[in-house]
Amino acid sequence: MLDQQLHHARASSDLVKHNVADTVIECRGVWKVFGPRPQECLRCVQRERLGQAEALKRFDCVVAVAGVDVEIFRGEIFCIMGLSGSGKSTLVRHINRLIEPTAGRIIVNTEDISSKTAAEMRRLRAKKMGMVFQNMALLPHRTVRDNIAFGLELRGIPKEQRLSIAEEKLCLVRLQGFGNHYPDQLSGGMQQRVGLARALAADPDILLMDEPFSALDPLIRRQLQDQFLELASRVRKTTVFITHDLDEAIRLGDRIGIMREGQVIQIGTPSQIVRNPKDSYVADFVRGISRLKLLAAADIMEPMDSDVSLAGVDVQLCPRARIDDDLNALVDLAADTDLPIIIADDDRDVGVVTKRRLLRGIQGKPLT
Amino acid sequence: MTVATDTPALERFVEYNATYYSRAFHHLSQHRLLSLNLAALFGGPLWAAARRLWGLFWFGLFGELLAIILAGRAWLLPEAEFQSTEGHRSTFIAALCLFVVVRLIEALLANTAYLRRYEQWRIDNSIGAGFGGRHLLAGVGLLLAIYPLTIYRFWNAQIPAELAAFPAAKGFAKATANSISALFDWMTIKFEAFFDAVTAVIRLILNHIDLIFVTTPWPVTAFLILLIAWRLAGWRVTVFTLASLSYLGLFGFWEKSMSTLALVVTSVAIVLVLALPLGIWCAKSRRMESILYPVLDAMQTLPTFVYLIPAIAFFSIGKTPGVIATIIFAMPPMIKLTALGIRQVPSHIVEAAVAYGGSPTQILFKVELPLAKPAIMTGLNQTIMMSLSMVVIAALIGAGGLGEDVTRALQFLQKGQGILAGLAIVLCAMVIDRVLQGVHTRSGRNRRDNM
Repeated sequence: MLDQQLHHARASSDLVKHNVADTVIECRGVWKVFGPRPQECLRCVQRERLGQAEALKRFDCVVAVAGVDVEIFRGEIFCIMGLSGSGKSTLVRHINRLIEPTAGRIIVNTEDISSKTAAEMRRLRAKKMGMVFQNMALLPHRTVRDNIAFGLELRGIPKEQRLSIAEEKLCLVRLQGFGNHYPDQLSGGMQQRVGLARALAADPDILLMDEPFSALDPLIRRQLQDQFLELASRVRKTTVFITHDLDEAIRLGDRIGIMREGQVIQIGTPSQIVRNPKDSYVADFVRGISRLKLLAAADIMEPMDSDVSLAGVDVQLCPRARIDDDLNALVDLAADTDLPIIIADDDRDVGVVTKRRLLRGIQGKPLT
Repeated sequence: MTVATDTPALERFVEYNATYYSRAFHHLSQHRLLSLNLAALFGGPLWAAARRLWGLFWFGLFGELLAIILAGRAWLLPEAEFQSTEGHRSTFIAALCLFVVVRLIEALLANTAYLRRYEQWRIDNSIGAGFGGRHLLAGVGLLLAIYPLTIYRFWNAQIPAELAAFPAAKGFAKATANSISALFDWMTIKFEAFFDAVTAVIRLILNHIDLIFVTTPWPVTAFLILLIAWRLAGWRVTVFTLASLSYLGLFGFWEKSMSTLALVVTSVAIVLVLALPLGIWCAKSRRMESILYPVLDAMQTLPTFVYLIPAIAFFSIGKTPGVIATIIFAMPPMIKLTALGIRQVPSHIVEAAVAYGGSPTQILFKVELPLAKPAIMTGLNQTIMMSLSMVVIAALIGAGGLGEDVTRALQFLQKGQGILAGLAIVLCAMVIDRVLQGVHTRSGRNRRDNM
């Protein structure tokens, strides 16, 4: 079931990719410098191309985000992956202006949000954006139901209406019957589902998720990822999902942006990133990732025209696979035979995958 | 091998006598607790200074100074100190013994202390190693600065007046005091209308509250108090309250305690109105905090009588200056704890409220104040307790109430009466405290009952 969801997500991402015009969030040249003289530091960093360490040494400033350009399309799940201190949480806080950029523009639904007044910004946050936090940030003195309805309450929506919405969102995250509990009576996973329900309460266009599952133990994290994918396929929000876990990014993301020292160093679909890591840093990350579902036969096959490896093999007995079958399917075929696998594209044989190729492909190493 | 016997590092650290310290440290790390350092025995504090062991240096300096002073006084000023010659001789010997003991302790602790410093240095090389020439000089300087004058002062019966007492600028102090008095006089006249207005407002509030507490028939008041205690804090506290009220009634303190209660309620109400906004302001603004906190510290530590006098000047005697003095005394904890409570609200929760479109006002009332409630309640409790303790002092300027009985008992040395009245105040305080604490714990328990 999960694989189906992943495929579904993958497929829809391809759909989204074609519709480039429908950009929901756009960051253009965003810089954020924390410290005593941010502008001065920024000018110097831009002029002399200083690194983070030098900026800290010379200006006592932290360059958290360094010239980020990102476009996020309607309905996609965009994962920002980076280690701690890479600036990913700072970047996402620019989107709802919890943090003001030192330079650059953030455009949400074709509007530059830095031009908005405080009151307009509050309306935008309350109606269009939901946020989920790593440490849940639920209000300990309010019941689960009141927590979920909190954003609506701030907007002045009448009590009866907001509580019925809260009840509905409770069902959405499968927490029926927990409305009267207090957050500290729930487990971490349940608390984060409350956080998610709170984010969905206003039915926002945009979901900002700042490492929502990082603080949970691995089993619960996996369950919540599944639930989230299932939920996402139903409600289809534009989601910016921050994580430090590439596995999580690959499971959830339609596209992934990899951040390092404040810069986005590569953007692409999970299979693009696994197939073509841009530099050794990304390659290091990708090394441990399972390629079974990310690579297709086309990625590892030997083209038919150079039929060296088929010498002395009866092609009719060989198992056959389609060009877009993933490595997992090829492993299933290869497990039952010693013969190479013939790859077909619309009934035409286009390539061969030998066992050696398959094993190296799974490993992510070139054939020697 | 232990750290202690890593020779090259040790040589760098001790600079001189490396073989001796290598062996000494080795012995110490083999669980021997003490060893005698001859250099320290003869060098005393100066050895400690040269080896950068300042704790040992100060111990030696003051220990030996004490011994020298005692010995000198016993030798030079026997008639001033002692009745008999035996007395002064034995004191002299005891002082010499003290000196030797101090030195011995130094010499025995020397290697242990030096080893500890060596271990610290191994962790953090920046603390300095080797023989400290400049440290030795500093040690000599400190000895010269402290010993001669001190010893001179203690060894001589007659000394110059400049040395005996700090040369005070008496004229200047008097002039300053006079001008402060003049300022108060001037303010009393100049701002008479203002002070009268404050007096009128406070008296208005106080009179009405006093009227309610004192004039309401005692069965009704007692019943209401018991009801409140039962609803808020449960039956145990109610029983205690009943006992306390019986005491107040039977020993004839009823009316006085009600009047005291009125005083406390008025003060606390005014404190709440003033302190909550100030506390919030302090939590939000570092500058406000840095201005207000020294003032609050002064309000808390200034002896009450110091501002009781201007209070009388401005507001004359009676209940009003009593209330004002109580407010000044009882307000600081309320402000500080409110500010503390708000500042302790986790920043990520506030951030979440901002992310959901909360305005500063909404965040204050829906997030910060509710989460700061435990701290604010503690502040309220402290304020109430401090008001009650102030009641006795306020009685000196005619605020009346239970304090009046205490001060009268003090004046006429009526021990029994004083203790009875004091006990009445204690019981009032305890009843209020238990009821408020009951509110606290019960609200916590109710919350858990939902599980």
